[in-house]
Amino acid sequence: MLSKVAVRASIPPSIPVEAGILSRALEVLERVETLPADAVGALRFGPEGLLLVESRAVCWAAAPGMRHRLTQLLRYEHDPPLSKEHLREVYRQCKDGQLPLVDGLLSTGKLLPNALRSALFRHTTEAIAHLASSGVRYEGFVPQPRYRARFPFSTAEILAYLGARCDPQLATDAAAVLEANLVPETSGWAFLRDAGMGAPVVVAARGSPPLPGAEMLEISSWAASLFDVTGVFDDGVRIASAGFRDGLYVVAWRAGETYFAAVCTNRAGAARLVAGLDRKLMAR
Amino acid sequence: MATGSARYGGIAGPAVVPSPDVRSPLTATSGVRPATRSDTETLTSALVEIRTGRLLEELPEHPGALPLAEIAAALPEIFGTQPVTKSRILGEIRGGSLDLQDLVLISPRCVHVLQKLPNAPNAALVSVAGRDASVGWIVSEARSRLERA
Repeated sequence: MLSKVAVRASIPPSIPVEAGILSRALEVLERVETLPADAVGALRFGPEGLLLVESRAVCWAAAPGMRHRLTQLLRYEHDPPLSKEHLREVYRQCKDGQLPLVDGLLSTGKLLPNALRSALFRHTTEAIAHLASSGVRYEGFVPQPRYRARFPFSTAEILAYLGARCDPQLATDAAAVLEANLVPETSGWAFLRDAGMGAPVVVAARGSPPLPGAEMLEISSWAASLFDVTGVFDDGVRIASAGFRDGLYVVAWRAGETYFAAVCTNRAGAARLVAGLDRKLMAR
Repeated sequence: MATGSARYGGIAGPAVVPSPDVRSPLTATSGVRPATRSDTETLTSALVEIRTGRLLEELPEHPGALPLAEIAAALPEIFGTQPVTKSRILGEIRGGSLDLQDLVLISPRCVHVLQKLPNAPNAALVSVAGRDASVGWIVSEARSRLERA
């Protein structure tokens, strides 16, 4: 019998594969990032597409044709797979009792919080990719009462998940690098310079607070250009630490094909990050 | 440090002219020394005009193999003062013009510290050291020299 990981991995990602989808997904995510910080409600895309947003985080997303996708994802977060009937019963109980679906699913004891988060995240990212692919028209924002979502997703991690499809193993390795090196109060991400997209592709994101996608890409472009320029006088430059006038501190580094960037809230944090990177990258 | 325009004509904004009675940032030290060699041998510094990459001071007598002149030439690109490169390097991060103040670049061979002069925005202090000194000392010494520039 296949392991749970193998079964879960065998579900093909329902994400369209086409050029330009990352840039269009970024446009969708920018709708989230440009909402007021305390906004709660639904971004509507056509008659069936929506993103539920709370404090600039995405709680849920759906696109046309995804009616049964969550059930499929949830089934295989358990070994053996949960039956469709079981899940339909949970849905019905939640509807009748007006209980949040997440709470209902967790109360069965058959799904761990991490597994439920994983399924919801995959559904959300796939829906955003489908909305981006379809080019469906943005209809508007409908305010709603606060969700108090248990599993909100940052636009940074959604963008990174979509970008990671370029090279999943590299993305996994890059995420490990971020986790091993980032210091507190730092947002960091890994990116590929081009990957055939004509622009940096974010493949992993960690830390807090998460940055808007457009800002990550701007800083990534800046960092990539900087390493190009430094190659003129020292092609061995691997770490760059920049201080800007308005209190922005950016640390960028590169390892092989993968580039990294981090935004630190203060100079001391940047110095700590640089010290750690220097020990690991420049081991002599 | 006196200011003037005669020696460095054509520079937009105040020029930077070392005064004879003030120790040059090339030689002044922070008082915290690395284990070996003199500070001036460990860390080489020079004032550079950002807009053109032109050195505003003569290089020290023993710059070694440190690429200080090459770094100076790259300053217009790095600080983004050229119209073309500004959009290429700095873009429009956070919706406004972002002003790079200082930059530390680390390679297995060297540590480069680039710092804009706070009172002379068209000039920067460029410092380079080999890796026989710690990054912390290099950055600290470079900042000390900036304060005296």
